[in-house]
Amino acid sequence: MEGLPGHFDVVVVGTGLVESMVAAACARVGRRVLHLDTRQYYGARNATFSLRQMGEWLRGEEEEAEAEAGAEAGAEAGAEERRGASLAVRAAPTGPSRASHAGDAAAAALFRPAEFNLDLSPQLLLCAGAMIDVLRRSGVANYLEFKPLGAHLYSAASPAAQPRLAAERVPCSKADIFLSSSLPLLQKRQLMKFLQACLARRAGGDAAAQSWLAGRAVKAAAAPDAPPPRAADESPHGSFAEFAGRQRLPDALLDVALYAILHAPRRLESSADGPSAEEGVNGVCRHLESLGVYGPSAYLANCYGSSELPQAFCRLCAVWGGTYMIHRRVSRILLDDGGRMEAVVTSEGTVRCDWLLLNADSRVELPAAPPSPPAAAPSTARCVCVLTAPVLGAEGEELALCTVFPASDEPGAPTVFALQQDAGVAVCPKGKVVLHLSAEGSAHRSARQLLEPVLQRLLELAAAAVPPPPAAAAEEEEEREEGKGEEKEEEEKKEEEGGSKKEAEKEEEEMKEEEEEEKKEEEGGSKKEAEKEEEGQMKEGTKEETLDDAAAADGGGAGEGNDERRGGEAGGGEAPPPDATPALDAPPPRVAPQVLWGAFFDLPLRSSTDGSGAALPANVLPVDDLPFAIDSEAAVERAHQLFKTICPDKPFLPSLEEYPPEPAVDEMEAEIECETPRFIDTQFTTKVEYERWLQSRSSSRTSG
Amino acid sequence: MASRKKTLLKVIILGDSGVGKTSLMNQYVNKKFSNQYKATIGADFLTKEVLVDDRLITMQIWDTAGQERFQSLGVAFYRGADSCVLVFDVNVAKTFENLDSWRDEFLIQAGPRDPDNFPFVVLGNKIDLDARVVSQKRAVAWCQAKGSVPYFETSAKEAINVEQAFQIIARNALKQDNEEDIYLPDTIDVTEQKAATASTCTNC
Repeated sequence: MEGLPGHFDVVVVGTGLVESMVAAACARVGRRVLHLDTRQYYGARNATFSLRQMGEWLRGEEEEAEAEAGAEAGAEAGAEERRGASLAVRAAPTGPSRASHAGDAAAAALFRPAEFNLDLSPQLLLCAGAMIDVLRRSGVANYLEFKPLGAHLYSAASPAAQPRLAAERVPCSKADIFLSSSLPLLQKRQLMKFLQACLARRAGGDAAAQSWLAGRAVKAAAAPDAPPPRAADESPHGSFAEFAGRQRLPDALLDVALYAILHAPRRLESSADGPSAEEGVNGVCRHLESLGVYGPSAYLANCYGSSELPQAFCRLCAVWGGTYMIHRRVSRILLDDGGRMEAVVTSEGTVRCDWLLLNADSRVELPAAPPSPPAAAPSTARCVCVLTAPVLGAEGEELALCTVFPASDEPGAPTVFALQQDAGVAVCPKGKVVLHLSAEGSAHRSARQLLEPVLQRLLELAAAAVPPPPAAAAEEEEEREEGKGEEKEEEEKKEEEGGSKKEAEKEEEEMKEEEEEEKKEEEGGSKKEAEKEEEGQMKEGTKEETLDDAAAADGGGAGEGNDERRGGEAGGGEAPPPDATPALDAPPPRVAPQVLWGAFFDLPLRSSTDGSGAALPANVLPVDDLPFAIDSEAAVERAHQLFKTICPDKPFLPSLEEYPPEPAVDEMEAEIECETPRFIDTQFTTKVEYERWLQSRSSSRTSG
Repeated sequence: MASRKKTLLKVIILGDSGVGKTSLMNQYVNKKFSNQYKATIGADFLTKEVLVDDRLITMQIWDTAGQERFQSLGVAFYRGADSCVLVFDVNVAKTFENLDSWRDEFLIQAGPRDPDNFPFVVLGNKIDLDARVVSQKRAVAWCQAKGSVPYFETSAKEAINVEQAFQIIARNALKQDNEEDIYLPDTIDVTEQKAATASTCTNC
C-alpha cells in the first residue's frame, strides 16, 4: 500500500477499449483517475494473447487461479464489513463458453511466446471513422503502428450461391467498379448511380460525389450537422433496404452494401429490417470517404494485435496523471445515506470517488438481482486459427477482410467476418497466417457449429486454387465425407485411420522440404528450435490429413461441376483468392493452407448487473460487453456517451491546441538549468567504446 | 525502403519508482532538472537527434508514465524497443536488487530475438547524494554477470555522465540493428495525413 491517494474523481475497473478511452478522456481534462483491472493483462474483452496464454484462457486455467485470488479478496472485504450500506462486487467469469480447443500443448511449444498475438476480439479501423479521428486528435496514434488492409472481400455463404469463387472484391471506388469482371455492365451503372445518390444525400454531397467520380478521395462532410442540401427530394426514410430498392439497386449489390459495408450482423427478415435509410446512407458514405485515405481499402489494422489500442489509451491516461493498478480489483462499493456510491474498496485500500465505471469482468451483487442470467444470453461466436498459408487475398494482400454473407436458407443466419492477418502486422511469425472468424452467436448453435463450415469452405477454396497433388483421387472423396464432422485436432483418431497415410506422408515430405527452406531463411535459429520445428511438422503431417484430402477432393470435384467454370474464371480476372495461376516470377506455387492450431469459442456478452441495471447507484456506470463489430466505431460512441455523463461540458479526447494542459500550479519552481554535461571517471564496462566516442567527439566540440 | 537503415531508435527506461527515470530523460533532452519529486505526470516520450558514426538518428526515449508504480506496465510499452535502460538509485539498495526483475520483465514482455545480446545499459543514479549504499563494485559485478552490460554512475541533477550514457545507448542500439527488424517495414503515419489518393488509387 504505497501511498494511494484517498480520493479520485473517477475509478475505472476494466481495461477494455471503451473503459480505457473513458479513463483517458477523463484524465485528459484534468480528472483524477484510478484505473484497475482484475486480470494481470490489459484489454479485458479486447485482450491479445500469445499462443500459450490463449490456451490457458480457453481451458479456463486463468479462471481457476482468479477464483482462488477472488476468494481471498472476498474474505478481506468481508472483514471490512462496516457501518452503512454497501454492495459486493464479484469477479465475473471472463472465459469462453462452449470452447473447443483445437490446439495442443505441443503446438504452442513450437513457437516463442511472443511470436503470436491472438486477439479475443479482432478489430479494424475505418480510415474516415471516429476512432482514427480520436487517435489522431488525442495523439494516441503516436503510440501505435498501422498497416492498410490489403483486400476487402465478400463471399456468399454457400457453394450454391457462389460456386467456385472464394471471394470477390467489394466494389467501391470507381476504379473497382470499372475493373470488376464479375459485375454485368448494367449492375455497374446501377451501382455507380446508387453510390452517387448516397453521397449526394449528405451535406456538401455534390462536391463529394464529384470528387468520387473523378477517382479522388472523398472528403468527409465538412459540417455533419448541417441539413442535407436536397432533403426535399426523396429524403431517406424507412429502412436502408427500401431506400436501395427505390434507387433500383439490384439485390446482389444490396447484399454487398448491407453485409460487407454496413456489417449487418444477420440476414434481414424483410426489407423493412436492418439499418435505417439514414444510417445506411451515412455508413456507405463513411466507407467511401475512407477509401484511398491511407490505402486502397477503407480500413487500417494496428500492429501487434487489437489490445494495443486500449493500452495506448491507458498510456495517455497515465501521461495525464492516471494511476494504474493491474491485477487489483474493487471488491465492494460503499454507499452513502442517499444511496449514492461514495467509495470503493480496492485491493490497495478504500478509495473515495465521485464516479465508478465497471466493466463486465465485475458483477455487482444487487439485492434484487435475479439469481441466474437469462437463458438465451447473447454471445459472439469466434474461431481463431493459425494457418500455414493464406486463404484470402492475392500475393501481397495477406492482410484481408472477407465478409461471408449469411446463408439465405436459414432465418436469422449470421454474417461471418473473416479477418486474415500475417507477419506484416506482427501477430505471427513470417510464413504463417492468423485467421479470425467472428459472428453473432446463437443460443442454439455453438461457435463451432456456426463457423466450422465457413472455415472448411475457405480452406477448400484456397486449396482448390493450388494445383492438386497428382495423387488426388476419388477414394479420398469418401474420406472427406467422414472427415468433415471430425476435427483436424483429433489427432489420435486420425492416426488410426491410416487409410491415406501414404499420401499424407508424401505430402508431409514435400511440406517439410518447403517449410524447412523457409525456416532456414527466416530463423537461422538455434538447433533446439529446429528440432522442435521438425517434431511439429511430423504432427502437422498426421494432423492435417483431413484438410489435405478435402483439398484434393475439391480439386477432383471441379471436373463434375464444369458448368460452374465460368464463374471461376471471372474470379480469376478479378481477385484470384490465393493466386489461382502462379505469377511468373513467383518461385513455388502457394501451398494449400493447413491448420496448425485452432479453437472455436463463444464469448458471452456480459453485463455487470445481470441485466437489472436499474438498481445501481446513479454514479456507478456499467460498461457491458459490446456486440461484436469488425470496426471500433461503436466503442468510440459508447465511450463518448459515458464520458459525457461524467464530464458534460468537457471536450472528448481533444487535441493539445483545442484544450491546452492546465499549468501545474503547485510546483512551478526550481528548475536547474544545466549547461555543460560532465563526465566523471567511474567504472564502466565498455571503456574502449567510450574512448572511441570521446575521440570522435573532441573533433567537433569540447566538453567540461 | 525494403532495406532501410534504421533512423529511429526506441529506447525505454525501466526501474523502480523514484530512481530518477524522468529526470534523466529530461536532463539529457532538455538539460533541465527539477528537485521537486512528483510521481511522473505528463512525461510521455522525448525525442532527440544524435549523430552516431556520421549517421543522424532520432532517439525516442519512452518514459514509463508512472505505470510501473503498481507493476502495471502493459506489454504495449515494450513493443519494438531497440534498447533498454535500467536505472537504480545508488542510495536505495532495494532499487538495485530489483534490477533483476526489471531485466527479466523486459525480456519476457519484449521477447527480443537474441536476449543474450540485447543492448541493456545500467545507470546508477543520484551519485550527488551522500547516502550511498550500493557500491560501484557491486553494480559492476552485476553488469558483468549479465553479459558485460555497460554501467554508468550518473547524476541527473548535476548532469554527470548523462550525455555519455545516452551516447553509448544509441551506439549499442544501432549495432543491434542488423536484420532485427524485418517486420513492419512501412507502417502508416496517421498523424500526418497526406493526400495519399494519387499513390493508392488506381487512376483512371
